[in-house]
Amino acid sequence: MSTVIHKRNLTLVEIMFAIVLIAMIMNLATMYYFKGWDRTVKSDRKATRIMSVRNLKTYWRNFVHNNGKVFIVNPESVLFVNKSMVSVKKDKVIFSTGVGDATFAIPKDSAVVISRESGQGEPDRLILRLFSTGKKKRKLEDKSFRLVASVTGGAQ
Amino acid sequence: MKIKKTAEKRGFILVECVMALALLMILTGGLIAAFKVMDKMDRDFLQEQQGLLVVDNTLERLEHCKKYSYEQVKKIFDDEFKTSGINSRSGMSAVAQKLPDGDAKLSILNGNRKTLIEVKIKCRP
Repeated sequence: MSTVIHKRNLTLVEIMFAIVLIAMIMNLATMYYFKGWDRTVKSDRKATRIMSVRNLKTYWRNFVHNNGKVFIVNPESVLFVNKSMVSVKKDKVIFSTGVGDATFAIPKDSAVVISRESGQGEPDRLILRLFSTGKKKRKLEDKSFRLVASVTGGAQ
Repeated sequence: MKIKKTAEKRGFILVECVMALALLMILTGGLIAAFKVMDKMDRDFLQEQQGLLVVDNTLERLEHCKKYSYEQVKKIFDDEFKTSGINSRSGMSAVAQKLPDGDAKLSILNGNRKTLIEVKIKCRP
């Protein structure tokens, strides 16, 4: 028994078709790999941000409740009558008392702004707002977290 | 007996190529759908967290009021919802209801009108 194989080269069209197909598959694979990677990083950042918000919320409220009357409020800091202070630096929020400082890192691509509000029949409240920042450090309102702490020392 | 067998190497036929492409498209379609679902889950998660904070901030503000009627609870709740930064396009809504005993029920609903958070507050008029 003998086998005869007729071997022939692939035509140009066949080779081009194969190359295009391989390129398409590789392109798709690469695209989904990077999309997946990007998604993972973004989800990780989001989880970190939410964890930071939770930690910050507890500490912020306790700090404001414990220190009572507010002396000066501006977007980067709050000074209490008892000289305790909350200040926002570039990438951290620092809670200072006479005893020591507690520092919380601000998550990446985020900004913190402090403000004061007062309402009818309610004690004054301090608002710490954590914004996600977009392109050119623009604050994204719809991706922000608002942390309210009532000033228990009464209206100033 | 001597049998002479001729085996010719052949390329893929059209049906095979079409089948391979169809499979590839199905896989790609699946991946695109998965990414869309992930996007939606991601968005919903953020909205839920913001919704939770709305209720939490409302409770914080009420805690430090000596007296509060249903109307005041509703006002504070609405104020917190408006200032929370929840995207109006998400379809999320805040609903305050007065219960027969005068207490307040606060709910945050998502775009599909499903309750995400529900809190009952005893009013102190």
